[in-house]
Amino acid sequence: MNKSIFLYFFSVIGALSVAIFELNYDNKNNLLFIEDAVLINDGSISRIDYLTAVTMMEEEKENPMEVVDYQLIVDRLIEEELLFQYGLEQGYIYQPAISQVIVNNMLETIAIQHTSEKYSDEKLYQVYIEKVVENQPLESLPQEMSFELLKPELAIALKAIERSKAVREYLTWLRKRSIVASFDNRIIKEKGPNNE
Amino acid sequence: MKYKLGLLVLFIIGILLAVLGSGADSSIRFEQFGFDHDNNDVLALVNQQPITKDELIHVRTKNPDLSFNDSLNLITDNYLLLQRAQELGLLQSDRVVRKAIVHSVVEQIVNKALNAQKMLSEEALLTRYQSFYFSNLAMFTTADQFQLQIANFDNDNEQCHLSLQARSKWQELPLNEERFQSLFVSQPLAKGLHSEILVHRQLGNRLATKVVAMTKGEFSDPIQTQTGCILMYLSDRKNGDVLPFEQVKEQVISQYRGILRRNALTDLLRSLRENAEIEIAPDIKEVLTNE
Repeated sequence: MNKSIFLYFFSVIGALSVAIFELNYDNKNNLLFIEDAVLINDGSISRIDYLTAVTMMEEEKENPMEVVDYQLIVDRLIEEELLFQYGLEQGYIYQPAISQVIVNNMLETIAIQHTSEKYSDEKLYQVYIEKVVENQPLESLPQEMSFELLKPELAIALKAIERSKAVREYLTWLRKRSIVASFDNRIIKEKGPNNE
Repeated sequence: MKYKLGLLVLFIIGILLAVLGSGADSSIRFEQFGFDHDNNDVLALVNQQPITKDELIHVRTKNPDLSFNDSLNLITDNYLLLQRAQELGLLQSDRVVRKAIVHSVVEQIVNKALNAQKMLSEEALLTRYQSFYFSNLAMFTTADQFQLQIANFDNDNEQCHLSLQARSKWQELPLNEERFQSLFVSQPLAKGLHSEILVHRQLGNRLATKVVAMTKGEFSDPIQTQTGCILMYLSDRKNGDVLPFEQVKEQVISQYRGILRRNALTDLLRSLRENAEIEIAPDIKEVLTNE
């Protein structure tokens, strides 16, 4: 009697463990594919890209979609991702035409993230007094040098200065966390992850 | 006690040696950073990514006012930004960059395959083109042409039976088309020779496939169609000719290169696929396996 209770108890525990494991496994799998349609090495094809490709093909086709059509879409997307990953590995991003696009995007991102969208009139007036008026009496300035007229240009100039400063600071931060070695008679000039 | 003291001394000596060792050779060797001794074109490394003389020349050509150091710094800054963009995964989501990289990879692979051909002598190339030509004669053959009459029996109740009778009658008699003009339908394929593509376009796949399989002077079996029963008579057929190599040499070269390009890309993709870990979402996998 005791033995059967013991066996029953352990079978229940065993079944529960298997069920929990399966549940976790399924959930883990489902979570992996919430946003992605295909995982390829360290990259992925998003569901949005997959669905966009499916919609485009559906619109082009006169007949209903078949399995071969879906297979074609998945194959093409996988091929594109594989070529993209290969390109990254091979350093294609350093090719001038490609690098220019990426660098410009990065600079734009840094600028957007680190510069104010609008400057207050007080701030602009302060800059006006410091940089335009300097020590001259305000009344002596010609009409075209008035604050109201120069305000838009001051805002643009301020943004450019702020942008340039943000980029410089960002690059300094990048340099500090990088290893930059330059070649001069085979001696390393800069070294270490914190070279300054 | 003595034993513990000995251990302490050894520990201190170890620490001292480590400290001295770290400063013993302050000029770090290039190899540690991945410099290639034989490659004198490398000017600097940014996180192991080499800056070459060519790149410096490129930058200085575009910015002639920049000094050597400023140019090197500019490239270094660009490299750092590129590496940061990659680290942040910005390239993955940027469609323009993605397409540009993929396009560049394809172009380079294709060029590599074509450049390999340039290393061959003219004689060797000619042999390859000829061998390609003979292995793919169908590519360099003119298309078959067809002239077709169609007899329609759509006004009769026992159309197919009648058409079968008509067919045997025509086959028994020396065929004089004029005698049966009344049964032949007026349609574009009846006059002159036409390509297989046009036959397909006019008749659809089902009938065209039958026509292509017929020989000159042959009648088809009665065929039931939406408009009734028909008989097809292939009044003329001109089989395609293989064009001589000299005449299609340019076409051979173009096709050969096209296949070379495709093969180069297919080979690369095959090897990338073989070495990749690919996992498809279960719901999509289900769609792909549904027959």
